[in-house]
Amino acid sequence: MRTPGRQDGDEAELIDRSRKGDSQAFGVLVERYQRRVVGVALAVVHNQDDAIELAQETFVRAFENLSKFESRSSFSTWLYRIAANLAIDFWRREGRHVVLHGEDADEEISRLPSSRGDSFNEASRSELSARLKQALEELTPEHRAVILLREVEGMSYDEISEVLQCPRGTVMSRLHYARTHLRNILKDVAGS
Amino acid sequence: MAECGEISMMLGAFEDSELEPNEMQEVAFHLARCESCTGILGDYSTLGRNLRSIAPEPKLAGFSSAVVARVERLPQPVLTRIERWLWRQAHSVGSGIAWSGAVAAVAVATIILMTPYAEQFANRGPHSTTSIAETGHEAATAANQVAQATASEPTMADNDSHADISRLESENHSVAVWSEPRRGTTVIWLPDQP
Amino acid sequence: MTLRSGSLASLIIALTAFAMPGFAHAQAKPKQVTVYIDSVMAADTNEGTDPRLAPMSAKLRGLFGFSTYSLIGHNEGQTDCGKMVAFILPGGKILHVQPRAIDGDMIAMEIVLFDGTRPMMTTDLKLKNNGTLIVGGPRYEQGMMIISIGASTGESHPMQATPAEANTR
Repeated sequence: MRTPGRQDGDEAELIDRSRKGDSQAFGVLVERYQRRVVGVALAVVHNQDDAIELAQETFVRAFENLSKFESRSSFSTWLYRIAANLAIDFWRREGRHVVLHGEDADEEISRLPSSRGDSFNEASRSELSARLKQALEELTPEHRAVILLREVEGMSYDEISEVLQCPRGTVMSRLHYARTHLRNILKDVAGS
Repeated sequence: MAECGEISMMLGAFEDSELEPNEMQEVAFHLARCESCTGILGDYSTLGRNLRSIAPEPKLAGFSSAVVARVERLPQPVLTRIERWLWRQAHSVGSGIAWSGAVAAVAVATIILMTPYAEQFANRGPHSTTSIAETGHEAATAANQVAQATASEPTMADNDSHADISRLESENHSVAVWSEPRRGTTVIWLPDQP
Repeated sequence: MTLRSGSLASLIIALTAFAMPGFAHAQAKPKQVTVYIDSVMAADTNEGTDPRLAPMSAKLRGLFGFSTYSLIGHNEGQTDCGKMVAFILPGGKILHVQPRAIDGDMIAMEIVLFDGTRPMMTTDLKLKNNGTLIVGGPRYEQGMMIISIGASTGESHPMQATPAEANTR
């Protein structure tokens, strides 16, 4: 993630051309940042289909509002912030706070995306990952976002603070809470 | 010595190398004596690995073209559309004019700059050769002065030893690295695993 | 071409001819690096700092809050760039240091620390000439081991004032 205020000359030109309506130039920017934007959205909503849709919406909103983008922050930070805001609004609007138990939980969790496919179905690891996914669902979107932006997207505390527009201290305390909560879940699974 | 309760709040940031150097040192110092906190740190590291292992790889085939298609379908104000059409036209015409102008300007500048030298080379004689020899002597003298100044400077070893680490691999989940600019030292911390 | 400009050209050619062998020799001769390793035991036993650690005692006390620092080993080795030198350290540790290149005032090297045959750490770094890197943390007897790794291309090293042999335990 670039230092706020600095842009490559190449990127500045792409942004300038995009502002003037060059959709192909904007397409280059999309290719450059799509993975991370989807990652930010996924960190909040934890559903791949929703995350991809939200990421597309992020880029469309960015294109519409390019005239409002100032060079004070980096373009990537601005994009990720849009993505995080859209994702949190989506989560709250869709009301996905329901905590499922038993068979309903198993069914829902099995529909969640997994990168490992069949190889991930060893008994103990399967239970651990299922429980971990459920535990992530139990977190608030803000707590889930910080832990996944840190651990999966590898963002620094300052980057997370800029994207989620909260103080660095809040990032640290949310991370501490999320880690403690998830660690307790892991210990319960290991114990059982 | 810091208590475990105080240190436990900092373990995550220690794992992420997000503490100030003195805080990193304080936590590292505590971990060298506390198996419980070292265990918690190991759990955080394991948690991170588990989270990364369950994170899905998004399917992005066709993503950018879908976005571009949506963007192109966006309604645009008439004035904006006219402005953009004019810009595109101007861009293609203007770029041709700009290139021609640039080439012409470089040619003129070259002619202007080279003319005095061309005359000088055409009229070169003994006076010019002496000037070159004197310039070479001055350069050699300046180089000697620089070399002597460098030799007489005290080495910075005692006050500014520093390491730039480009790669660090370890099976130790608690490995940490920090710099102490005031002490001119970089520290790699490898506490024993519990 | 005048006589004086011809003489100047001849002088330049002659100087170049004499300089080339020296230049080639300098290029061919591998650059040597001397590596200095000090193994220190740090503990909370209130025994003070080993006087042989005087050059680095302030640094150690500032970095770590122990009450005892003892020099338990000192090793030196000279090697060419591109060649590895190994050191056997107290506590069954083995250190491999391979300088790779000298880049201005920085010495590029790879360092691998083993615990017996198990690699504990592998790092690629650039260390300032006459600078030191500290590796700390492994337990040693009642305390902790601190390994100070220094490298030099030839200028005097601060720790050369320390006797080469330490009383090993």
